[in-house]
Amino acid sequence: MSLHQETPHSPGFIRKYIFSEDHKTIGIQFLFSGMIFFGIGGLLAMLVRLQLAWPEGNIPWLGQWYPKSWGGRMSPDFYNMLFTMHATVMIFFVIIPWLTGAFGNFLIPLMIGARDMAFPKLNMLSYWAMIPAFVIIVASFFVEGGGASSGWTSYPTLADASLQKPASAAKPGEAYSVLKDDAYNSPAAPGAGMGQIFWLTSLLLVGLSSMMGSVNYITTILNMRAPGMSLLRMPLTVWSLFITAILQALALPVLTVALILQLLDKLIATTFFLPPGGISFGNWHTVPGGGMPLLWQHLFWFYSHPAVYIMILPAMGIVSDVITAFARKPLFGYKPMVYSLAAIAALGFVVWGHHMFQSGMDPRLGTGFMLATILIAVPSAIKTFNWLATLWESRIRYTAAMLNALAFVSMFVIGGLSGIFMAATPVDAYFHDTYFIVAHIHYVLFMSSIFGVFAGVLFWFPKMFGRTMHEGLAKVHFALTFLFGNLTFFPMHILGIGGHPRRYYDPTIYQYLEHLQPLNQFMTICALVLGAAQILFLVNFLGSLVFGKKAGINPWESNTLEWTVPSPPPHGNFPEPPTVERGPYEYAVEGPADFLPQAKEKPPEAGA
Amino acid sequence: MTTQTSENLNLPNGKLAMWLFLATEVMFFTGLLATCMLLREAAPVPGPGLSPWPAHETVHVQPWLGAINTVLLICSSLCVLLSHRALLANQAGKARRWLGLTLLLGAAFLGVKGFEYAGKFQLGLLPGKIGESVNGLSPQREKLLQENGLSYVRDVQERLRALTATVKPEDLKTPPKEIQAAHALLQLTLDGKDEKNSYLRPLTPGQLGDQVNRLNGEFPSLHLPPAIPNGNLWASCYFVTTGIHAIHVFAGLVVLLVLFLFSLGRDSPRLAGRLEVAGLYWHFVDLVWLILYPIIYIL
Amino acid sequence: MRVFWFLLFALVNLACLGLFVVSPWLGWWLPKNIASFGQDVDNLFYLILAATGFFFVVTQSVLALAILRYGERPGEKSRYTHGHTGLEITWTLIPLAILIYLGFAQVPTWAKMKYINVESWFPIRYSGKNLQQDQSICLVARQWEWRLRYPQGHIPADQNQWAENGDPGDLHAVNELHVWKNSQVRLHLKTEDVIHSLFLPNLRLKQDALPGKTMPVVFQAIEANVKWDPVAGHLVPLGPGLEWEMACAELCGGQHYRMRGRLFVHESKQDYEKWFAQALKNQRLRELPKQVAAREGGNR
Ligand code: HEA
Ligand code: HEA
Ligand code: CUA
Ligand SMILES: [Cu+2]
Repeated sequence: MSLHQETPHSPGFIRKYIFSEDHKTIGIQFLFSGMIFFGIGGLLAMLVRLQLAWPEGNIPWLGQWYPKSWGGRMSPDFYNMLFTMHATVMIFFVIIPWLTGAFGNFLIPLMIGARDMAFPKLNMLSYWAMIPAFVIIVASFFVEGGGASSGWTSYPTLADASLQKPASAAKPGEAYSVLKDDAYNSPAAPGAGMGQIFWLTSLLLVGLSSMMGSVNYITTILNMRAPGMSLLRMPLTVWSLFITAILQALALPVLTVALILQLLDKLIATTFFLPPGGISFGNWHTVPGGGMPLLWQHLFWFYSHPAVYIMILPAMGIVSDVITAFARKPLFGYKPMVYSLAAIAALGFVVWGHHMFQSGMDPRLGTGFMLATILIAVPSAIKTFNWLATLWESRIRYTAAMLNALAFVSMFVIGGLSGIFMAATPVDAYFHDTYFIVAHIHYVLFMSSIFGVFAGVLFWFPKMFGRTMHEGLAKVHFALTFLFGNLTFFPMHILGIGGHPRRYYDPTIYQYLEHLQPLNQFMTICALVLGAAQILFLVNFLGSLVFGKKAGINPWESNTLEWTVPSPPPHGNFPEPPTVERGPYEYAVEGPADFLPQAKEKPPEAGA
Repeated sequence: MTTQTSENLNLPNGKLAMWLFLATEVMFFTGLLATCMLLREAAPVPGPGLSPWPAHETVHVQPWLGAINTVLLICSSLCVLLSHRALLANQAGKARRWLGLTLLLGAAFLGVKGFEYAGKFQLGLLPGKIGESVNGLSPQREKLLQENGLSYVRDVQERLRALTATVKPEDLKTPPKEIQAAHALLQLTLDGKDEKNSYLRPLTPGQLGDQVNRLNGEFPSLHLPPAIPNGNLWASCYFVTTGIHAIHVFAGLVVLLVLFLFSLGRDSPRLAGRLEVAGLYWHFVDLVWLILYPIIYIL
Repeated sequence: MRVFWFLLFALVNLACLGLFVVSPWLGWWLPKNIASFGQDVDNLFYLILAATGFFFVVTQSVLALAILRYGERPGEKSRYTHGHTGLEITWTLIPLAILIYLGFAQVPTWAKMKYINVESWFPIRYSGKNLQQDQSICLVARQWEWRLRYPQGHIPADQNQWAENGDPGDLHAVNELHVWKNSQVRLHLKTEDVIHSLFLPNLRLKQDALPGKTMPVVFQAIEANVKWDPVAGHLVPLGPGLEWEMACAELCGGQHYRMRGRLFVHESKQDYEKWFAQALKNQRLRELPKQVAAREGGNR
């Protein structure tokens, strides 16, 4: 079996870059679209920050852009839409596609020594299911009432209310107006009408894409490994992606159920998430026959808690690989690292209730969820300590990728530790839905996952494009992001301790929050710098595609299989199927070179 | 030295992926069915001694239709199996016939389903459209419901008006009794005055529902829209569970149809593998029905 | 560069730590606690702060030190090791022990807040507690205000029935929660439309209001902020800065941030009753015309 039989004619541009079935191209497609959405989500966050710092709205240049009816300041409903769409975009269109879509696709076959994914066509489809999702979520900004504005959690009945018109509005003889003219507008909130319907549809498509992706990944990892690549010789990146795919396959269907049911509630007046007796908004009244609003929360968090681990485990894997490569030291405790990944994933299924301590769920259940949640800190601790032990007595190369990976470790500890406060039921009664949570979210998602992504991009950029990113620029970007990220997000803990509720358009009307306003302004200024610093990354990324230094096959002197093929790897990846002889972390070994690649040394004639 | 086969699972990719896909489907249907079971358990009791879930007669659920469908699906599952058997034994013609029979049985299943749905549409047993009397509400909320035109009240009024429209006032003194009763009920749904000329509120939807159900019992010929406590919730669950299952059946039929067309003319050796994978899915759809059937039609 | 990166990591983390140290002095800290269980909650907060603070300092120091000490040097290699079982066990068991302690330490306070008894510790079992109760208040949230209903005589005979239907003699108020010092209060929390969440920072209390449900909320305020001025015939604050607020903590639409209410803790039951009588009188005066109109209509 040789590559040359397979591709006698090179595919045309369209087949190669647009309708590609090559896992590498698909991975890069995910990378690029994620980047576009990162910009969108970031800009939304900037608007959120501006509003929070100067809620009275005296921002001269910005005021002009708002519609006249808002009176020169942002409207509260618009603000709600901002953070809802910010979180939706960041979570479903940036982090998950980056981690599982981009890295999952690009790395899995290369790192296990496969020619491609098990199902290349399905893989292509999984990207193409994202395209309508992209279109719909962007279009949702422009529908009547604006984009979804019920928070990324979309709790009923705010998001869900399906309505009939007041008697006065219905013509005689016309029984129901659901499904007619303006029935899609919701009196609960402008964004809860069409915007919410678009939101639900878009997420359904994202889910479809992820589902195809995860089935493909699991099959590939179980069935396509090169000879010698036993499970316990897989790099941690592959392990983390494998476990993430399992998480996704088992958790995502439940979100799909929830999304479908909410969609039906809105479209055909089913009553899954509306209470018996209905609810009323002034003149409006929902259908009386009722379900349970709390049920949505159970279904949603049954997915979305595992989802937060979907958003961190791959980053953990990436960081493990980057750290070992630049610490020039074998990973400390390979097996504990693998088992703790699995433990986090397994425990992740039984803790969803910690988002619902104050929701009206039985307080006794809360205790069980609390204990399970707190236990997750144990495998997380194992991971943290093993990373630190890997660094101890190592010889660190301070590359930009390494710095980002180190930042991941540092920031994950902060984000994780703040989780313990919220896991404790009595303390959470105070912290629930305050900025303490917002701080937690951004420490784990922005300061950890995104640093993991930055590390991964810097590390594998040479393999993806055959060039290296500019080190100096990358380091400036890192320093700015690290510094201003902390300055932006750390004070949020203090806001939370002060009792600052989240999702507040204007906190200054509360006396007990007044003295915190200077902090809000400080954070906004830092956030603007933080946002601007991301431009450096973008410039570096795009510039290096064209002007970057040419990279060899193995610029980082790393061990894993992807570093044995040309950069970028050809279609089919491996000219000869590699044979794996050892684990991935043989650094600091005896001999002239301090590393020992996983693959068996090729006989000389095979290289030609 | 290890070899490729010893590292990997002893399963073809397609089959492995199908098992994985079915795992996601198991989670999906678990979530869906658990939701419906939970809603049913938690449904409020409409009144003392009443069951919170509508009885089969009330919502026109016919267990025997479901039973027919169960048989159809089980048989079709068997046919897929036999078709695969035949393929393995290199009897392409026989395989094709079994596969064709599978398709027919599956289509028949959908036909029965469609018949059932049509009935529900005709009777207006649709989510959000079923009249409900809501008991246990505070007078304020009942008032809200009333003022905001719970369509149930309007539906009943319409029906009553239609019934009494052709009747002249003088006829009301003599039977038919049911028309008299209908007329009386209609008056109760409107604002009125009593003998002392003081204001009387119209019936709340809850009271009206009780009256309607009583009249329906007394005079079945009136065909008033019955008040079905938790009827909308029932319809929501019924249509979502059976509907999503039907979509799965439909998808399975499409796949099997493609395989069937594929098998015409050629006796592809890869067909057996594909049919096995498709068959796995088909058996799963069958299994889901076996769980769904008792939940919807028997419990 | 090595030193620069060390400084970046070390100083940023030091600054984070420093912020937690200076914040209490700058007043950026927990608002004044006035709940009977509030001190317990705060203590648990400090307990977790100590545990997490310890691990924060340890892990960040090790990381920063590693960055400083273990830079690449020509001709030197890292130590070749794949791990150490003893170490793994140690750093699994120590956090585990601490965490299990932290978890169980929460249980009594949680029980206190939710008014239940801890029956057994393993497995943790609860049983209901009979509330010795001084006051019953119905609190209905809606977009976007809090509507309160106070019964005459503080506790109605049938609470659930009263919470659902009310009494003609009830006192109605908007966004003003009145209790008296040390009274055991039971709120019947409801919502008319979407989910809201009652948040009283000073009481360390938060509870969502679920559509279609009536949530019980129990608390006891141990400090007063207003007293009745018999001469002027209205409430006066007991001191500056004693304004206690009530907020909505669950997104409920556009004006979510505006569901601001205020908490008045009266000095004594007598004060409360005086206020109640006055407020009821005012309400009757306002309502008189409406009640006359309502009396004309009967019900079938
Ligand atoms: C990548 C994402 C991510 C990750 C990894 C986590 C990790 C954790 N999260 Fe977080 N969480 C979110 C994303 C994430 N979370 C988001 C987005 C929300 C908000 C959703 C919303 O409402 O919008 C949320 C909300 C949230 C809540 C709900 C709060 C509320 O709404 O009231 C809780 C409560 O328990 C919680 C807990 C935890 C815990 C215990 C962990 C643990 O896994 C952390 C474990 C790690 C450590 C503890 C650090 C390392 C360990 C050591 C150094 C050892 C020693 C430590 C001790 C002995 C304490 N999270
Ligand atoms: C992966 C997830 C992720 C990421 C990366 C971020 C990134 C950021 N987030 Fe967000 N956030 C969430 C997930 C995330 N967030 C979630 C889940 C919520 C909860 C929502 C809810 O309550 O429903 C939330 C809520 C949230 C709030 C709370 C809103 C509220 O409760 O009222 C705030 C407020 O400060 C905020 C700020 C920011 C900022 C400043 C960034 C910055 O880090 C962003 C920096 C990035 C950029 C700016 C983009 C790149 C820049 C360019 C392409 C150049 C152009 C930019 C400029 C010229 C400025 N986020
Ligand atoms: Cu009410 Cu937020
Ligand atoms: Cu969680």
